[in-house]
Amino acid sequence: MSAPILHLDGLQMAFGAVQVLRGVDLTVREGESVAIIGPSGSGKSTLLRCLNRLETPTGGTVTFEGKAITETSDFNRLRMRMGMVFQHFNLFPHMTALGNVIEAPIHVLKQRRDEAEARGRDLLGKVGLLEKADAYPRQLSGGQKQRVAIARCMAMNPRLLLLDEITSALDPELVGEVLDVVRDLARQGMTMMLVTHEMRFAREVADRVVFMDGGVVVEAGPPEEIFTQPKSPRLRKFLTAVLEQVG
Amino acid sequence: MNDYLQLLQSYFPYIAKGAVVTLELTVLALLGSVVIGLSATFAKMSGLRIVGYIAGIYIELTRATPALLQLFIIYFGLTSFGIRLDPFTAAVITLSLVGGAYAAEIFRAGIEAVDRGQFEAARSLGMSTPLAMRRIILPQAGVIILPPFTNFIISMIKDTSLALTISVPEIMYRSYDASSQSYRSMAVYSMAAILYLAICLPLSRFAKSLERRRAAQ
Ligand SMILES: Nc1ncnc2c1ncn2[C@@H]1O[C@H](COP(=O)(O)OP(=O)(O)OP(=O)(O)O)[C@@H](O)[C@H]1O
Ligand SMILES: [Mg+2]
Repeated sequence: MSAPILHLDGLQMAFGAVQVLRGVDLTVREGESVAIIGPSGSGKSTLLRCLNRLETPTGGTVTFEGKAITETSDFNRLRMRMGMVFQHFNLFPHMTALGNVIEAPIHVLKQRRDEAEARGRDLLGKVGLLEKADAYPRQLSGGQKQRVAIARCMAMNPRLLLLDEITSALDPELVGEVLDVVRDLARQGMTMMLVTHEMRFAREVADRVVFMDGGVVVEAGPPEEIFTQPKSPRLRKFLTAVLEQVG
Repeated sequence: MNDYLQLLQSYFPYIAKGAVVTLELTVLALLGSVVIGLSATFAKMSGLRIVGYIAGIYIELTRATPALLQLFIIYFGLTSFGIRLDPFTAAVITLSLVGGAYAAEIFRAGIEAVDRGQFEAARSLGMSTPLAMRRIILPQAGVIILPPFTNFIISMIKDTSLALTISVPEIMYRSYDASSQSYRSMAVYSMAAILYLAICLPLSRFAKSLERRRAAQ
């Protein structure tokens, strides 16, 4: 088995009096793709946001690349190593697709512009958008925006990719093109944690599926097990509800 | 009519020279306002309690008192502490302080109007807060701020007329002067009105077109 990249031990998060994460234990290994599923409000987004410190956990420990992340850690460095793709893309509207991709490499990693641009075009090519390099976000479809957002993340060479429901703001016919890109990344051995409502996709690309409910990990295991032999009643109930929705 | 043309000939150049002073006051006070306004905005957003608190007090105090009072405090009041400013400097300082408080509110509203996700995306790429501000937030806030800031420039131009009270030779001072010499108030003040309109109307047109363009998007 490959080495663990990320280890969570009793991770807790409260917004004021509202306890959202109640002790999450989880290990993610190099090259693994972990799908996180669970009902709305179960704390999936909060979990990802605690990892790259967009939120500050209120308890427990996070170990990333062998080092405990504490209040004194360099969060900018942490975020360079841990990319995040958002549900609503959050592309920078005043920059072209290529501009979005090269922004952090130039200003954070201090790459030379020509170097960053070459790499940026390469990455846009990989998500099938080389011809859109000079387009502004408002000229792109949702699916194209999300692919640019993924390229923007990859330009930082992250060790771990956090994907939070990256297809749920998309029209159904655009979901496929984004999932294709994620599938490719998984095949190339990118380590990732993806929160998703696409059960079929989770089953297909994930090495492991984690079911969260009420701020804890209720059940985790290989996709076949989770989807065909769910043990906990809560997971069974969730799967029944989700599968009914799909019809 | 002939009479008016004659008046125009004798007083317009004199009053028009005041427009230069008005514009000088405006430009310097705007620069001061932007510097003070940005400082106050960042002080409030810094998360440093005391600094933010001081900025808050400054904004409230300046906005809750008449600009004329502040001008008199700075020009006449400060003499009690041995500080004697020339009228032009006193006017620039006062208008900068007054304008800074308004500018701070415009800047804050503009920054807050930028989608929160933009800042999060920037941070998630490893950008520091100042870098994210400079490269991601401020350019977007700038576009949002432009129409209210243009309106702010217009009020600043009009507010420079307060400097008349401490004898800065801007448009109002000179037309007041001309009117008391000529006893032709209506004619003289209409010249002043023409000068203000010539400066302010294009700006207000510009602000309106910016607003229309934003609404259309
Ligand atoms: N900034 C916040 N302030 C207060 N409460 C919050 C905040 N963010 C999230 N919460 C609460 O935390 C809980 C978990 O939210 P979270 O977004 O992590 O759930 P989720 O599993 O991602 O749900 P969904 O599937 O709907 O995206 C919810 O009850 C939510 O209302
Ligand atoms: Mg969520």
